[in-house]
Amino acid sequence: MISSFVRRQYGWMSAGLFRKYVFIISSLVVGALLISGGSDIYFTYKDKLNSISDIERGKASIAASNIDFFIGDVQRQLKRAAQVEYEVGDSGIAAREEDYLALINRVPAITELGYWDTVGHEQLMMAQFGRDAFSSNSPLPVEQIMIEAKARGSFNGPVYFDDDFVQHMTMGIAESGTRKGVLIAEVNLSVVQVIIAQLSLADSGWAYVVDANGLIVSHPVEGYVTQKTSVAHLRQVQTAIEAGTEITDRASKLSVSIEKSLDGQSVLATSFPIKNLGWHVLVEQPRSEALASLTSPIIRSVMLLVAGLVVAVITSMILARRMVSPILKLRDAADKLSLGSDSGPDGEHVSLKTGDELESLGQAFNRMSAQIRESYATLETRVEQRTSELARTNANLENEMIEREKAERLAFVLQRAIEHSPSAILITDTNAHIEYINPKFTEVTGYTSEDVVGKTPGVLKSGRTSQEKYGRLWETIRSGSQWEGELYNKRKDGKFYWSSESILPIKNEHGAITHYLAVEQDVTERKKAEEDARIANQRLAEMNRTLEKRVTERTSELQQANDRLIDAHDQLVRTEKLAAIGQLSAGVAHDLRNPLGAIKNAIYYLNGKLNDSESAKENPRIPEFLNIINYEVDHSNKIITDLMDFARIAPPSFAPADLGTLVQDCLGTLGVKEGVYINVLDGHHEDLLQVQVDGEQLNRVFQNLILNAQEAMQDGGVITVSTVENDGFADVSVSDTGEGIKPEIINKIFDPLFTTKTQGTGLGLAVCQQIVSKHGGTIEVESKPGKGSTFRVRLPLSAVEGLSKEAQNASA
Amino acid sequence: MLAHETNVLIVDDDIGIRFTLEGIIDDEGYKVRGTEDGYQAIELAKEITFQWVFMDIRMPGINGVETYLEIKKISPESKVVMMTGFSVEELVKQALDEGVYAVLYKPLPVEQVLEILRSGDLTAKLAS
Repeated sequence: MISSFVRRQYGWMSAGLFRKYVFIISSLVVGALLISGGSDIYFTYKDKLNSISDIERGKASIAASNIDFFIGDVQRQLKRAAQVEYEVGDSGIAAREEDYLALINRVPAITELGYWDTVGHEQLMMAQFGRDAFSSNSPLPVEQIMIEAKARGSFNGPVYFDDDFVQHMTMGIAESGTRKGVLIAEVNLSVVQVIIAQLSLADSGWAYVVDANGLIVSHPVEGYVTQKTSVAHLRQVQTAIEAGTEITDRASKLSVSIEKSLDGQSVLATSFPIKNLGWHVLVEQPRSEALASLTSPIIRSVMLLVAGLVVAVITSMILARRMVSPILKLRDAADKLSLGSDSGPDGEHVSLKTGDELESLGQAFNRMSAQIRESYATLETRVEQRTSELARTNANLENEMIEREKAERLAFVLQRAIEHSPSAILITDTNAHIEYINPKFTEVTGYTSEDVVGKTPGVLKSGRTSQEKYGRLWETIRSGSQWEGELYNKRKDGKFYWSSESILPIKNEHGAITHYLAVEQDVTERKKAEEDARIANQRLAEMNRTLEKRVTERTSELQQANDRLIDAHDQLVRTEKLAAIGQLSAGVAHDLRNPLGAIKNAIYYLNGKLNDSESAKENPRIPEFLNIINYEVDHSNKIITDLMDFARIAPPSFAPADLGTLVQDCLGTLGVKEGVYINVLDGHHEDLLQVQVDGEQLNRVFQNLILNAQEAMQDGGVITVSTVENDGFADVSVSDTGEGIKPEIINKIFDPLFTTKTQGTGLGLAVCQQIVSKHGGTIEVESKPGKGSTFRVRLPLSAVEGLSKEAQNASA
Repeated sequence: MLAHETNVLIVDDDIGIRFTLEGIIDDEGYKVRGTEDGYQAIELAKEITFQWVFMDIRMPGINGVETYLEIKKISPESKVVMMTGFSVEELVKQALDEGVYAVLYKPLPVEQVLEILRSGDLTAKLAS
C-alpha cells in the first residue's frame, strides 16, 4: 500500500523533470525568436516614420518657400515702386500713374493699387481692369493701413474674400524719402490655394496654411477656408506658432509628431513657417497609411516563431528522456533500500551503462548500499542493549513521578492556601522582579498579574516613604533576615494605603537566596483612625489654647471695662455730689440771708444807738464786738455767695477767642500781692491759640488759679503763666514757687468744699474744674512740696470743630 | 411833707428782717407798718396809702411781684422796692419789667435804704 503510494509520488516527480526540460528549451527558442522579430518590426517602424517625416517636411518646406517667394516678390515690386522719387504736383501724379499701371500689368497678383499722400488724401487709384475699378473689400479702413505702414515701413492686412470669392490681402508700403506717402495694394492670393491643392493631391496626406492666429488661410477642403475655421486648438498648430518663423535644426528634427487632425484622425503632422507672412504650412498624413508598410515584417516573424517552436519541443523531448531514465533506475533502487525489502546481503544493485557521470553515480550508489546493510546489523544489537537500559530508567522515573506527583499535589494545596490567604502576598526573584502575586494582592492594590509580573514592587511606591527606609528594608532582607514594618504605598487607581509588611528571603537547599516573599496587610483604616485621633487631639489642644487666650483677652477687657466703670462711677459720685451741693446751697442761701439780713440791720441800729452812748465809752469792747459781728456776717454772706455761684455755673456761651489775650485780660484786672512777680511766657508768638470758650467763665478759672498761686506764696515768689499749643490742645499753665501741695491731699483738691485755707470755701478749684470740663477740656496739677505747684488747663483748639459744636449744642 | 407823714410798708415773712427794718425806719421818723405776707399787704394798702413799700420777692402764698401788681392797682403812686436773697432770679427780672423802683439784695445795705427814702422825700417835696 505504502510502497505503491510512494512510487506514484516518485513517478510524478520524473514526469515533472521531463516537462521541465521540454518547457525550458522551448521557451528559450521562442524567446530568442520573439526578440529578433520584435526588434526587426521596431526598427522598420522607426525607419518608416523617419522617411515619412522627411517627405512631409520636404513637402511643407517646398510649399512654404513657394508661397514665401510669391509674397516676397510682390512686396519687393511694391517697395521698389515706393522708393521712386516723384515731383510734387500733377506731373508727379501723372508719372506715378504711368509707373503704377506698368507695375499692375507686370505683376498680375496685384489687382488694385492706390497712392495716398503724406496727409492721408487719396491721390491715385487704379485696378487691373481700369483706373476707377478699385473695389477693395478689405476689412481694414485705409487710415489704419496707413498708420501701420508708416510705423513699420510695410504692412500686411488680414486675408479676405472679394466679390468673386477670391482670396485677397491688403498690403501697405510707406514711401521712403521726404514725402512719406503710402502705396496700398490689393494682392490676389489664389496662388497660395493652388500650391496647397497641388501638395495635397500628390500623396495620401494633405497640407494647409494657417495665419499667425491659427486661422486657416488655405486648405484643400474649401469650406474651412471660407468659414475662416480656427485650428489654434490643435497641438501641431500651437507648436508651429510657438516655434515662430525662424527655422532651426532642432525645430526641424522635432517637427514630425503624432497628433490629432481637425477631423479627429490620428495623423503624423509637421509644419514649416512662411517667413514673409508669419504664416505656417502644415502637412498631415494619417498614421494608418504610414504604418501600412509594417505588415510584411510581422508575418515573417510569426512564421519563424512557429517553426522554431516545433523544432525546439521535439529536440527537448528526446534529450530529456535520455537524461531522466537512469535517474529513475537509481530512485527505484533507493526505494527498496529504504524500505528494507528482501534483497541480497550486499544490498541493492543498480547497473547503469550510460558511460558518463551517471554510470559512476550508479557505482557509488552500489557501494553505499552495501555499507548501509552492514551497519544496520550492528545497530540492531545496540538497540537491544539500549532498550533494556531504558526499561530500568523508566522504572526509576515512574517512582520519581509518583514522588513528584505527591509534591505537586502539596504544591497545589499550598497554592490554594496562598490564593485564599487574607494577606496580600508577593514573590519576587532576587532582582526584585515580581514572579507571583495572590488575588488578595490584586484586591488590595488593584494590580493584576498581567500588570506587575516582571516588574518590581517599585510600582507601589507612593513617593512618600523615605529612601532610607527602603534602603534599610533591602539591607535587612539581602542579609537573609526578615523585615517587618509599615509602608505607605500607592494603588493602581492612585489612591494611597498603609500596609503592614513582612518581607523575607526564600533560600534554596544551599542557603542561597532565590526569591523574596512579601506578606502585607492593608492597615489604612487603622492608620486613618490613628491619624484622626491625632488630629482631633491637636485640634482640641488648639481649641484649648484659643479658649485660654480668649479668656485672658476677655478678662483684660473686663478689667478695662471695670476700670472704666469705676472711673465713671467716681465721676458720677462727684457729679451727684456737686448737684446735691448746688441744690442745698440754693435752698439754704435764701434762708440764711434773711437771718443775716436781720442781724446786719440790728447791728446797724445798735451801732447808731451805742457808739456814742455812755456804756460804749465805759466799755470800748461794745463797738469792737459790734464790728466783729458785722465782719462775720459779711464773711458768712461771702460763703453763701460762693456756694450759690458754684451751684449755678451756667452752660458756657461759646465764642471764639485767643487764649493768650484772655490770660492777658485776666492778669490786667488782678491785683498782685507785694513780693509776687508774674512772668508770662507766650510759647506761641506767631499764631493765635484760637479756642471756643465762654470768656467770662474762663476768666474766673484763671483768676482762681492765680489767686491760689499768690496765696501759696506767703513770702512772695514768681508765678509763671504760659500758653502753648500741644497736640490739638491749647495749654495754659500757672506755676508758682510756693509751698506746694502735700501728696496725701493732692487727690482731693478739686473736691467741692475741700479747703486748706482758714478763710476758704473749698469751692474755687471745684468751680475751675466744672468750667473747664464744660469746655471739653481738662485741668491737671503737678506739685512738689517746698518747690511749688503747676496747674495746667487744657482746652481743645477750635480747629476741632466737633467738640465746639457739641459744646454749642450743649449750651443750646 | 415831713418825714413822719410818709407811710412806709415793710412786707417780709422773716420776722427778724421785718422788725429790724421797721425799727430803723421808724426811728427816722417815718410811719411804718409791717405785714408777713402779700394778702395782708394788699388789705392794708386799701386802708392806707403808702408812699414806700419794701417787699420780699419770695413769700409763702402770693409772691412779691403779684402783690406789687395788686398794690399798683390800689395805689399807683406807691413806690415799691423789692428785696431778695438771691443774686439772680427770674422774679427779679419780672419785677423790674413791671416797673418796681429798685431791687435790693439781702443783707440790705441799710444806708442805701435810708438814702432811697430821703431822696424819695426830696422828690416828693419838690413835686409838692
